[in-house]
This record gives sequence, C-alpha cells and structure tokens, in this order.
Amino acid sequence: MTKAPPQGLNDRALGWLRYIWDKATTPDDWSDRGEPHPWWDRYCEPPMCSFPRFDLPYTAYVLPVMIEATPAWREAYVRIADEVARRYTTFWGAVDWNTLIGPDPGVDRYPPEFLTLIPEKLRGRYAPPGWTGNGIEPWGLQPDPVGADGNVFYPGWLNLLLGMRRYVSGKADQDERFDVTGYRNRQFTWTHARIAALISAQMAARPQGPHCENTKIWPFCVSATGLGLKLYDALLGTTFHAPFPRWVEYVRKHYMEIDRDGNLAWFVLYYDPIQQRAETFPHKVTAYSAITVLLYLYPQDRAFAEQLYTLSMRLLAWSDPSRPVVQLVDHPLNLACALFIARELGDSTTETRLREIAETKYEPRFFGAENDRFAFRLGIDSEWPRGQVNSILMLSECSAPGAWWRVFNEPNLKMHNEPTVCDVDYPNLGIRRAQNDMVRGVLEIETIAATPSRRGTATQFTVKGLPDPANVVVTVDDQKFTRWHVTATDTIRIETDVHEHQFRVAFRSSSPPKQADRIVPGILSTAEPIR
Amino acid sequence: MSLPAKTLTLAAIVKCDEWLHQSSIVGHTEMKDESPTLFPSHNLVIRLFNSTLLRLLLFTLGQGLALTSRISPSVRSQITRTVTFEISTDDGVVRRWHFNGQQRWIATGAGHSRSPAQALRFPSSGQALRVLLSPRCIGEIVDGLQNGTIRLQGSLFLTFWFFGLTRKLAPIGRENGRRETGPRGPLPDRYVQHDPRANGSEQIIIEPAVTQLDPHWTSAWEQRAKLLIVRATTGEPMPEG
Repeated sequence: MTKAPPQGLNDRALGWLRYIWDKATTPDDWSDRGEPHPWWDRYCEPPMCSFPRFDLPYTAYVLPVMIEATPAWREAYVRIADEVARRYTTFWGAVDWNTLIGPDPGVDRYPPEFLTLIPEKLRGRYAPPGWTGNGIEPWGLQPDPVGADGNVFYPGWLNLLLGMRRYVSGKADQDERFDVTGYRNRQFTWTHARIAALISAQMAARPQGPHCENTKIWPFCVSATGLGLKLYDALLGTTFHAPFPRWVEYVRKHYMEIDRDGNLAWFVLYYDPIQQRAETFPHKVTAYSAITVLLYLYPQDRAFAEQLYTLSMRLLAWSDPSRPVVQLVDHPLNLACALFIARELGDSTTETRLREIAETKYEPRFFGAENDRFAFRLGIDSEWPRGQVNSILMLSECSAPGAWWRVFNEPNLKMHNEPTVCDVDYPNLGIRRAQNDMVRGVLEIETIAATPSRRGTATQFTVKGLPDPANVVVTVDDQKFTRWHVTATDTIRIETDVHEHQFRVAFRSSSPPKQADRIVPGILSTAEPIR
Repeated sequence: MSLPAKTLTLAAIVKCDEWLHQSSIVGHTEMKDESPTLFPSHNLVIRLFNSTLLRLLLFTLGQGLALTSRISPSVRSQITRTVTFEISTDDGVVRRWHFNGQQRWIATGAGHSRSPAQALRFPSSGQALRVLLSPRCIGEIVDGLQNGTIRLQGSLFLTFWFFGLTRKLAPIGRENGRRETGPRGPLPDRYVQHDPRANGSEQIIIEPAVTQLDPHWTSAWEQRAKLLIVRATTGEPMPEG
C-alpha cells in the first residue's frame, strides 16, 4: 500500500495521547483488594465487553499508527504500552475468568436487551455473552487465564497488546518471563513467545475457532487473536499466523450466508458447539455482527474484510448517499469501526457520512484543566470519556489512511536502528512529528507545549543513535542553533524550552559543521528559553 | 379462552392475512393512505376493516401472552424487567403490554400507557397488519425504521425480545420461514472436550469442575459484585452501547 506523506500528529491526536498518558501513568490498584480507576472503560457494550481489560489493548491501538508521524520518538508510547500491559496480567485483567465461576446463577434475571444476545430457544436458561463460566463441565476449573481451553480472548488480546509494545519499543523481550494472575491469585509464568505459540496451536487444532466464555466461539475474538499472531510473525519472522486463513474459510462456509440477491443474510455473532446453536442478529441488524470483526480481519485478509464491509454498509444503507444514516441500534463502537474501515479502504462517501455523525452526535471535545486532552464524550453523562469507543474513533484521527494495515503487513522495523529522540519531558514538552530521512541524513522534530501552562519553561531532550554526533548540524525554526552538546558516543543533548519549535538535526551533512556551530562536549551552558 | 383456542384464533388471522395479501387489500389501503381516492367510502370501509382486524390481532396477542406468562416457564424466565411495550397506529389503534418483572407476568390493555418505555408506531392499521403478519415481520420493522415509515421509541433489541415472546404463541416474525437464522444443523470439527494435543507444547491445568466462586475468596466476591454483568441481574439499568 502507498504510504501517506509524512505528517505530524494533529491536535486531536495529541490531546488523546495526553489523556491516555494520564490513564496509563496514574497509579491504581488492579488487585483483588483494589479497583481500577473509573476512567478505565468497563461500561461499553455490556454484557460482553464491559470489563476494564478491554480498554487496555484498545488504548494501545493508536500507538503503532501514531508511530508513522513520530517513528523517531516512541518512548511515551512504550511507557503507555508498558503500563497497560502491566495491568492486563492482574486480577482485574482477568476478573471475568477469575470470578464468573461455574454455571451462571442469573440466567433468568438478565434484562431483555441481554436476552436478545442469546439464541431464541435458549433464552432464560443460558449464560449470556460475558459469563466466562470457568469451572463448568466438561471443561473443569482452569485456573490459568492464559492456559485455558475456553478463554482465548484473554491470551489473544494479550498477545496483540504485547506485539504492539514490542513494535513500538523494538525491544527483543519475547522470551522475558512475567506472571499472570489467575484463580485465587495464583501466579502463572508466561512469555510472549509461549503465548503466541499456544494460541497458534489452539487455532490449528480447532477449525471452528478457539473458544471464549465456555463455550462460545466469537469471530470477533478469533479475529483479534489472529491479528496478534499476524503482528508477531511480522515482527519476528515466525509462522504462527498460518492456521488463520483456514479459519477464515470456515467462517465463509459456516458462519455467514449470502442470499440469492447477493446480500448478507446473516453473520454469526457467536456459535456454541455444545448447544450447536449460533446467535445471529435478525435481518439487517446482522450487519452489526459483521462490523465487529472488520478492524481485526482487514489487515489479515483485506479482500474478505472489504467484502464484509461492503455487504454491511449496503444492508445498513450507510454507503447510500441518497438515504440518511440511520443507526438501528445505539452502538457507537460499530459506527466507529465502520468509519475507520471506510477511511482505510478509501470509501470517502461512507467516511464523510459517518464522520458527520461522529462530529455532530458524539461530542468531540477538548477538556481537562488546561483544555489539552481530547476525546469524544458520546453524549454520555460521565466524568470520563468512554475508552473503548474513543480508542476506535481516535484511530481515524491519529493515522494516515492505510496505517493500520501497514502495522501488520509492512511494519517499520528500520526505525529501531535509526536516530531516536529520547528523554523528552513529556507531557510538558510534546512531539508532533519526529522523522528521519535516512537518505538525506536528517532528523526533523516538531515540538509543542503539551502542557500549555509550562510554555516557555526550560527543558531538554536527547537524540541517540547518531552516527557521528560531534559533526551534526542543528537548526531550530530555520535558524542556526548552538545549544546542544555531545553526551555519549552516539548521543547529543538539545536544550530548549517548552514551545512549538521545528528542529532539524543533520547528521550526515555534505559539509562538516563548523566548530562554532556546537557546544563543546562537557561544557554545559545554562539553558535559556529560545524565542 | 384456552391457549389452544387462542392459537387457533391466531391461525385464523394468519389465514385471513394470506387472503388479504392475495386480494391486495392491505397494499391497496397503503396506497389510499398516501393519496386521495375516488372512492372515499370504500376506503373508509377498508380502514375500518383493517383497524378492527388489527385490534383483534393485538387483543389476541395480548391475551395470549398474558395467559402464557402465567403457565409457561420459558416465557416467565424471560420476563425479567418491569417495562411497558406499546404498539399503536396513527389511525388510532393502540395496545399495550405491561411486563411485571417482579411477578413475572404480563398484563395487557387497549389505549396508551402513561409512559411506555418501548413503543412501536405504524402509520396505519393496514401497514401494521401487513408487517405484523408477515413471515419476515422483524425484517419489515427494520426496513420501516430505516425508511422512516415506522417509529420506535426505546431499544430495537427490546423489540426483538418482545417478538421473541410472541413467537412462543404464533410464528410471527420468522426470518425466511425459519425461527432463527444461522447455520443449519451441527457444524463439523467440534471441539467439545479437552484435548491435550490441542495446545501445542503447553499443558492446560485442569482441576475438578466447580459450581461457584470459592466462598473463602471474599475479596474476589466483593470485586465481582461490581461487574455490570453481575449487577445486571439485580435490576440495575444497563447502558445499551
């Protein structure tokens, strides 16, 4: 796919980054003695997605696509990825598998809206989506949320999250051990590599797809699981994703139907192989089931995803400019997914129509004490923006079209070995753009005052990985700049202020820089604001 | 009236609907609803006929559901919230169902509810009949919502739930003649019991089946009680999206 020209992050993306930085770096207690901060979204899409775990990988989705604007500045993304991954392996990360134990005692007490997520003949006597049912027959109690027969959405999304962390950090940590909290707080040691191998094996052994929630198979979850394997392969050259195409064939054959008119007749929300029943939404509403998989399927099987997208948009008439966009059900997450995929696929008609809905109904707002955070408030009377929906909506704000596909198919692995901006005093100083042009030998950096009240205060950052730091030429806002010095064999430190600036670090210029163009190593002058 | 008798009445209505479709009366009425007619008296008769037939259908559905809610465990198990559902038309037909989540029964009556949580409104009795008696009733409703001819107050999913209950009485709203869409019959390659070969080189730890969360893990019980899926069983209102 053609890569879009390098662009900086827009103000909304910077505002969203500021907000998810707050969420990720503010300590909270995800143990069984504590409770996640309420800004972690455990409210969206009940009953199946209303667990805070979902907000963790969702939060990370923007990170690998934002990298296209800032491949030479990733440390804030790595910190966010680290913080959300750390939470994922806690008690609350697997609160469903660890506490929704045994047969569901409330099968006949759920609200009608939940009952409609159950095949009609089973309503009132069958656990709804979201009830994981660890411990039921015939599976027994499986205390490890990763090593389980019927919980693939847990290791599946963990693998995807770890892959994103691996991508933004470039750190070869796939064999590093970490603990996952299971039933009764037992700790289970895993590595990223072992998790990827396990779910790949499960996918290979189960043509119907690995199970979530004893005992349901969700195309949504299996697609996300496949995407994590796709990324793992892209980063490490493995073949864990190999079983996925066969599952896609199974989906085409058994989990959907196209009628004689070429319309999507139904698409499975989930299938229970023990009950041998599928849940499908009736009539055109079935498009909502298909939309849920698009985000994950599209980088893995673009043609099939495009087909499902086209069928869904046709059913809902969202792509028909002669008709208004009608949302049959109030699920902003689905509209956010459709908007993002429309943009990725270049369907500008649908994108414009859906963006209009998002702009007029979903309340895009800057907020916070300094009005520097950004999110869609969605018309919900809540102190904090809903993380899951915003994470998808913000994908459209934080990336160029095609960026999501590129993460999994053409990841930028070179960036890990190129000059990199580090030690930025984020979130006081922000980075809108940081990109290397390795042909010209230039690193371009655009800074902003990420915290407006700190504008003008002194700060500094370093640039590492320079081939010959003593001979770089630095300019700021097209002016010669001297407030930098060499601090290591491949590193310089730049002294500046919290402000909007455009730095240019020429690290392979045709003419060697004059001695007067730089500060002599070891002689640090007092940093002063640069105007 | 016994349940079989009501079912027979419904069957008669369905037959009547077939006749209506064959003779295009419902469709004819739809046209007359939207444009002037040369035979207003004829139009009035058809409207009266349609509204009477719709009232009869809704009365039968109402009484049938009310009766079924007292004798059918399957229906009772799905009456989990106190909510009022109303079907009405612009030409004056109204029927409401009151679902009592505490007692798990349904009451029905003519006329508007004071504050229906869920209301489906058709432009005419003729259209309501055509939709409600269609083998693809849900599809017709969705189409109507999409093109603006049918109005919905509340959640579409709650409407699906309502028609799921009516299907306990009569086959109203079947999709393509089938009660449920989805794969037909068992699907191949089921994984329905643990297979140690299905996990590569990893071993799944399996302990005896249990029926509930460890009663001694009190902190887990406390946190579990905060989950929406658990709170939903206590009657707490849930967000839709």
